[in-house]
Amino acid sequence: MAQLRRPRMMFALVCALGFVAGAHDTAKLSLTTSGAPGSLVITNHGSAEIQLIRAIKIEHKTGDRWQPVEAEFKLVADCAEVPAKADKCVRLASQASLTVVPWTGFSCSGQCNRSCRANVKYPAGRYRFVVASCSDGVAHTSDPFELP
Amino acid sequence: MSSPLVIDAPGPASRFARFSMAGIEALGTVTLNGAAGDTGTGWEIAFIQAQWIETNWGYYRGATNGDGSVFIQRARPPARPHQACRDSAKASSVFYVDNPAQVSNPQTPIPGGGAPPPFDVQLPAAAGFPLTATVFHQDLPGDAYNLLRTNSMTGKLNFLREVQLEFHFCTVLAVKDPAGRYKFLKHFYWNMHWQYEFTATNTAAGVGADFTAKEIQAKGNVSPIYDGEATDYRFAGVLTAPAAVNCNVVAAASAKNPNVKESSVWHNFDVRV
Repeated sequence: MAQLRRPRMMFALVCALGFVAGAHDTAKLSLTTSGAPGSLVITNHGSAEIQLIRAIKIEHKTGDRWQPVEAEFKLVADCAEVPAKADKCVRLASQASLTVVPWTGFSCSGQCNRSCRANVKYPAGRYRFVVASCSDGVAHTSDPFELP
Repeated sequence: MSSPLVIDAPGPASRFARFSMAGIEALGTVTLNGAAGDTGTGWEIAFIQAQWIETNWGYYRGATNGDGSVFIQRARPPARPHQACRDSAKASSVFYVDNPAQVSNPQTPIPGGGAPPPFDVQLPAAAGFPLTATVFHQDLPGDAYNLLRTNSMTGKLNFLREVQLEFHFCTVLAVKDPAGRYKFLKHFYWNMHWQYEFTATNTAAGVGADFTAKEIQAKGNVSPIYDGEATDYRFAGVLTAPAAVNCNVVAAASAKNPNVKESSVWHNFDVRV
């Protein structure tokens, strides 16, 4: 039995180390929303490149809870460069910043998508963005901002 | 949404004519009469919407006859395989919005005042009957065309000359029971039309050309409200079918991969195909 247990422990140790390294990579990420409502600047203050999930989540404060919002909002600096579906991760070099095309407050026409049939305008209120690391899924939330 | 047309100023590499309007809003009120011992578990009230007609084309032409012309067709196969689609905010949803937590944002005052109703009501298990619930519906559809396009036959820049858009919808107030069956209570039709003619005024500036637009039509229409089920064969099949295509997905795909016809001269394309 002892011989069986040892490999399991080693596997658990490797997983734990991997998680810590990933968390460390994205710990020095800042998400700034101090510009116009819906704007977002992501900066990697760390010493290594990080990879972030392209799709950005949006949350709305309703009462004392943050509720997810259904909207098209991606980590792109220019709508002309909206990537293919397969491109799920964005590389952000050490000390680099990415100014994201702002969120408009709409569900379908939230950012770069202009061909919309079902399209809802979200109410004024407090929102925040959530960006996640590709390597470990660790989520980073922006400061809240007010959508007029 | 003050203007149905916005033309991007010179500057960015991608310039568009953007078409939008104030859109539509609706309220639906439903009273459920339960029997003794009934619970609210599994009952849901919301709107379902289908789009059943789409016209969507753009015509470009160069500064001179020899610069050619381009016709972009987004509403016919293969760009748009079928006219009918289900129109919901999330591609996998039957209801237009299937999230009870999503707060609505009415652009017009709610009759009688009070808090804006939700898009989607899921009854609590302990619902007392009879129970009356009100749900909200809102849609602000729109589309856009590039102002500029290079004609591959002539190698010349072609400028947006005309666009016609027609989106026809049917919106249904529905209740879903705990067995997943839908009951259609009321429905209405509505549509939005845009048609504009454009003139590039200084084509020598190339991508920096200025554009003026003449409105041929920019309007919306709403039908009376009808009782019961919408049975029109042109879209009845997509209202609740699990495999129905989503209108936002279809619209985005046809904008990305439209049917393109080019000519080396100012050609009169047949906009019906």
